[in-house]
Amino acid sequence: MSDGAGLAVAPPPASVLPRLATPDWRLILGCFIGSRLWLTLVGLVTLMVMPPQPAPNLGVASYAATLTDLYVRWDALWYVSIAEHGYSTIVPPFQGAGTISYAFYPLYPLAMWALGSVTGLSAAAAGLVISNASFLGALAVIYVLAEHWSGSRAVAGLAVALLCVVPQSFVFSAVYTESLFVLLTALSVLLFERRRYALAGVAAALGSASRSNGIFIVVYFGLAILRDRGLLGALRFWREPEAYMPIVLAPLGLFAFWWFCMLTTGDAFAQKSTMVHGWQWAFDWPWNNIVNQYRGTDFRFKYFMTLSLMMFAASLTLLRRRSWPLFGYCLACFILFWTGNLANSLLRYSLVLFPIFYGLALVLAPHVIVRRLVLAVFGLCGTLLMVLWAIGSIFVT
Amino acid sequence: MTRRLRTIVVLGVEAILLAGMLASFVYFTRNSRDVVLTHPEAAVPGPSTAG
Repeated sequence: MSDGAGLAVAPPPASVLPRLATPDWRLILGCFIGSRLWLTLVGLVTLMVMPPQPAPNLGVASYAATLTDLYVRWDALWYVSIAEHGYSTIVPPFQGAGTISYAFYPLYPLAMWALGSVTGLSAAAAGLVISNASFLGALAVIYVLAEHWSGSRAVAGLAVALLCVVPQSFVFSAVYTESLFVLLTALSVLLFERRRYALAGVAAALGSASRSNGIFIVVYFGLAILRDRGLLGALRFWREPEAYMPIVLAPLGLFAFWWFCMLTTGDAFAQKSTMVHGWQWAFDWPWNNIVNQYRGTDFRFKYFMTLSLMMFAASLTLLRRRSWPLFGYCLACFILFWTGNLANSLLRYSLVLFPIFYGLALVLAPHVIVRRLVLAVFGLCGTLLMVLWAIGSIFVT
Repeated sequence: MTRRLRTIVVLGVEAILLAGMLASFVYFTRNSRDVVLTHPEAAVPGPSTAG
């Protein structure tokens, strides 16, 4: 906190902070169950009337029309493989040279293996349980955060509803890392807001062990300290060093993965190595990549880049007096996304940036007709993408 | 634990963690060998079962 002259003022202890709101479980459960049931129904009906496209590059001749297989697509097969057999430097059948499982972060498949070992569930079923439970938990945390920031239950409810119906929100129920990642990052932000710094750091460290952009939550922590204390107060870190603990702890998940890679392959950066050789990932400046996607001939890349730019535009709603550190976090993640030459999956990557939905809810909440229109358009587009997902389309990866 | 002692302990823990991560990173950059180039099984496509 700053007194306006840049002098640090001791923050109030957690015990005198305003009590956080309790989540509106009826609304959260309604959004969660309603959206999951609808998307699953659409997916299963699609599988019944349209045979799935062959997916030879994924090691399966075609997808089966079962509930589990509906949510095991694309990268989900890698997570199932890691959970069942561990990491390997052997290229799986049908995959190109250099594509090995070290491209995927370990926390989610580790959780799948652990749950499967305890309960006897298959890796895919364990993944479904973890993803859906994490998504439900993430919705509750985001609701509490949104109400805490805005002071409005309407904004909090709308943020939750938007996240449930946003196009491609079915990935939160798939065997993907997105829902676990959103839960961990939102939880770390909530704990940081409550000055539970060590726990916030632990949640952030788990986040950095689950996705490549997990480490970027430190941008939020740093900017939030700057916002609350001013520049001079932020520089005097010794006055309350606990506040910096999340920044120090957050990279530990990433470093743990690097150590694992180093000890098992001799390459700490095996994730980058396989991305470069196997997936032909290459670094370039974001502005070059954005221009190149539109100059290229692959319509798919134009499509994904356009969607990520739309999500970035939505993140501009966070440029407000108190929420600009959240924008800083989103901006850092978008820059990471755009530094890669591959535009695949950019919509899915953007969905984990949960502050965007808070920003959108802030803008949309006062406008009833616009709010309903956005929810309807989201729902329609989400339904279409679920159909494409069910048939294994390359436009939904 | 007094406030002063607590501050020293926290700063010490943070310094150790940062030093450990920095040392690890330097070690990684000096000793890592590209896994795809050094592991023959990673450099070739997986066995095809097509057909």
